Amino acid sequence: MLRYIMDKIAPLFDKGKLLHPLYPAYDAIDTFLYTPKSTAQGSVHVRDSLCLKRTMTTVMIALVPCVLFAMFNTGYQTFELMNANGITKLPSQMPETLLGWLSFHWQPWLMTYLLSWTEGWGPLALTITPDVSFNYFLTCFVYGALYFFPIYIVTFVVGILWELLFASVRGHEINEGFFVTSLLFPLTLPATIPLWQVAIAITFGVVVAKEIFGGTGRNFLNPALAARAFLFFTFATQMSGATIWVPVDGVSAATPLSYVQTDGMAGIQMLAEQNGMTEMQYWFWSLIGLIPGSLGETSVVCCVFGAALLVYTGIGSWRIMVSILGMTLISSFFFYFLYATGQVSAPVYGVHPHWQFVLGGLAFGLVFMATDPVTGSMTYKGQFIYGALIGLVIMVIRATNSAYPEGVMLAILVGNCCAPLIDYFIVQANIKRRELRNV
Amino acid sequence: MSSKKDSTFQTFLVAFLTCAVCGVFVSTAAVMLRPLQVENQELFKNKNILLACGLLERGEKISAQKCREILDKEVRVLKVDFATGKIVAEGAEALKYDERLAAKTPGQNVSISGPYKLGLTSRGRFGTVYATKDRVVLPIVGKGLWSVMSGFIALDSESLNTVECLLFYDHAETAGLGGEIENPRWQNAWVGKSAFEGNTPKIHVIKGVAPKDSPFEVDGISGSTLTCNGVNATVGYWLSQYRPFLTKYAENKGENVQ
Amino acid sequence: MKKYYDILFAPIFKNNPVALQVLGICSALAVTTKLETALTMSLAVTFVTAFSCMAVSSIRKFIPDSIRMIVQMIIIASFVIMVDLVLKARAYEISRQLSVFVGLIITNCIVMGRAEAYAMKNPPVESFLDGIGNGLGYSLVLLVVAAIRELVGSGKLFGQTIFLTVNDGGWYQPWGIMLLAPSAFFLIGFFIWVLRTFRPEQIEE
Repeated sequence: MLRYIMDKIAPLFDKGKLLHPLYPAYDAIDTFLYTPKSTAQGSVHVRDSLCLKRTMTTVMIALVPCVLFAMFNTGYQTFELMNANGITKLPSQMPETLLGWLSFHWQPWLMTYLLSWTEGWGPLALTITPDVSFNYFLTCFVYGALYFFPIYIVTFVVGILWELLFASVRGHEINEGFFVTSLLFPLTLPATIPLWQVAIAITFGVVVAKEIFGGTGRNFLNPALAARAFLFFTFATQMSGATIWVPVDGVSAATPLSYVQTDGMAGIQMLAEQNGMTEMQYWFWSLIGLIPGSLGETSVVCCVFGAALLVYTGIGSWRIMVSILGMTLISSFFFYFLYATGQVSAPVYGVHPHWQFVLGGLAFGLVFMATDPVTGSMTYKGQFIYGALIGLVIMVIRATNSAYPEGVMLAILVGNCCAPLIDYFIVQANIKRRELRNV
Repeated sequence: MSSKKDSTFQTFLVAFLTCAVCGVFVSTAAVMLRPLQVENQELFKNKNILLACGLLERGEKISAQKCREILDKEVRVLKVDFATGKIVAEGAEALKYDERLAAKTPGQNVSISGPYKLGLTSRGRFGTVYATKDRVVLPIVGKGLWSVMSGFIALDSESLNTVECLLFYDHAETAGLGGEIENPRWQNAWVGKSAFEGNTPKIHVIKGVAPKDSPFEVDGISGSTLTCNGVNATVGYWLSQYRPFLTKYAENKGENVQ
Repeated sequence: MKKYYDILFAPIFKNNPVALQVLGICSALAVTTKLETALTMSLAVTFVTAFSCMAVSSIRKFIPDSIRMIVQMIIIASFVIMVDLVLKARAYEISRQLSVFVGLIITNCIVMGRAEAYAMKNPPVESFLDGIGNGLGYSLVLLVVAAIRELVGSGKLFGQTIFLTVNDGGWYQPWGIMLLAPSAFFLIGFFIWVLRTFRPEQIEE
């Protein structure tokens, strides 16, 4: 049936027909649904059975746990925060200004409605009273989904429109690269981000970071990260601070990383006490990811799943992951050493190295952003250098820059910029070595 | 032609003449424009003092001459000993004193310690205060996120507690974020708040919106926690340092008692 | 007359010093957060380029090759210092905002580039016009970039409020990135993009 429709409308997109400029869109849908009709002619060099489409699908599967966890944690953080502050009703204010309407969060209303609607549904009845029931779990999940999906949909629609525009003008087909970008980008954002800002940022990411350089495969910056960096510097108020991470109006819930920024280990101790845990228990808590933060970045466990899949399928480079981990560890030990020996007094230096891995976006960035095959290093040796550079910059920003608590995004962008250069030198060194051998 | 042009003599001659002509032009311009420049610098400083004293509206144009006149007529310049709170000099002699210079001069400075993270290591032993009928204006200086911020805080001369004006005229905070400390709207949020509780400086910037009836809390600038921390340290430190002076000033009803 | 016309206007779109030759970027980043400073800077650069080109051109036959760069430099530096002095005396507020960037006109490649490439080979009147033309080409880019940065970054034009920002109680959420230097890079990039779309002959291989 679907095939029939696709075939029926195909001639509409032929050269010279009215809808020809939209051929890339047709082709994208067609090849997404079915195997491409055209096969390679003549002799082809097949390295393995991987094509761009399958690569992207694998990355998206690797991201699924992060997405699911993002939804759950957003709801969970909201209800926990409300409970901790003695708020029993979902808070919501009617916007007063135009800007307010543009950034309006309708989720509390819908949720209030859903709560009353599902009352008495037994196992499916939603409840915002924290307990360990399935109902509460489901509620967290639903509420998080209400925040995640609008961001995802806006990202996807706006981004794909730009892709379409460029594909039409340039007369090539849409690449699948954007599917991954569109899933990565929302995961790096706080839940409360206004949707119009999401639209502007993804426009920047697609147009400036990718299309200007020729589209998928030719970009030197990761589009999702570039979009996030743009948002971070453009609308800093909505991208940093203590009130943006958990969607409860007027109540602040800073990320553990920002406590670390000002108070070091004392900040962690305080958070652990607040949650009635020991420091080690809170560490595991953060490992699972039940802390405030950007939507998808908090759970190290989910990122590890993704990493395993990416490494197993050979899509993500284990060399990059290992070298980032290693260098972060070394440099955080170094900063800790400086603190422990009294060379510096800033408490942020004194954070125990094992904490660096569970805070902020380190796990997410190193698994899904730094290993992007297009923007990372290609050569094996280069990947080690690239990873080490990122690891070092992450720690330098985290420890020494008081303006930004998190350095992962900027570090990976710096790494992206240096990757072609690193590869160039590795290749040149290789050529020289071989020349010597052949003399 | 070319050989003559490139001869050693010609090279020296052209070099010398160019330097001479350019030198004359530049030095003439420098000498002629010098008084205007000095006047501008003075005007810039005086304007901010008048602004803090409430003798000038924001954005109002004023000539250097007029500025000086108002300053001479309405404003008492006092040189104050931080430790004792006594006024040690007034008028022309007080004007000569430069706290920023003294802060860097060994023997005339005191190192800064205490609970306020000012970001500076020392201050002068004496401070300058501008007093009018209605206000007492205290200069404040301290580190924000990126560099040193300079400004004034003016207190009501009756209560020596109610803030009449706060302004920063020199800073290098991030435009649009920390740079909002020069936004008149934010600066006006300080007006009417109370500086001290007892003898302890209490006024401070909080995160988010301050409650209307709160006497000590001022609206935060979103996205600029670190700049606001700098503002809090700066205001708190200088208020605490000027406290002995303010006490003495109130006792003596503003008279200069030696 | 046609010749003079060409000399004066060619550098504006056809051979723009910033967009085509990519010169003078440094100051274009630093002074374009506000139209007021950008305009002052534009005037200063145009003035310096025009007069130093004329001065260099009028003594070009006497300048020995071995010290020609230094001589050009001295002439340019003198004009720049004079401009700086005048600004400090007459427009103190703006000169405070421009801070070192007026002095840095000395190192602006456009000035030196025109003196070396054009004024050393052509008569004074042509050199003067060429200086003005290049100054205007530079100004055009600077003003376009500054207009966008000021409007989008702080909701103002020439300091007059166009969009009332959130911090001032309005509705407009200013774009912080426009107040940071990288935005000027992006905007100049877009400017070049637009220019080369309309004039494909400027595209380099």
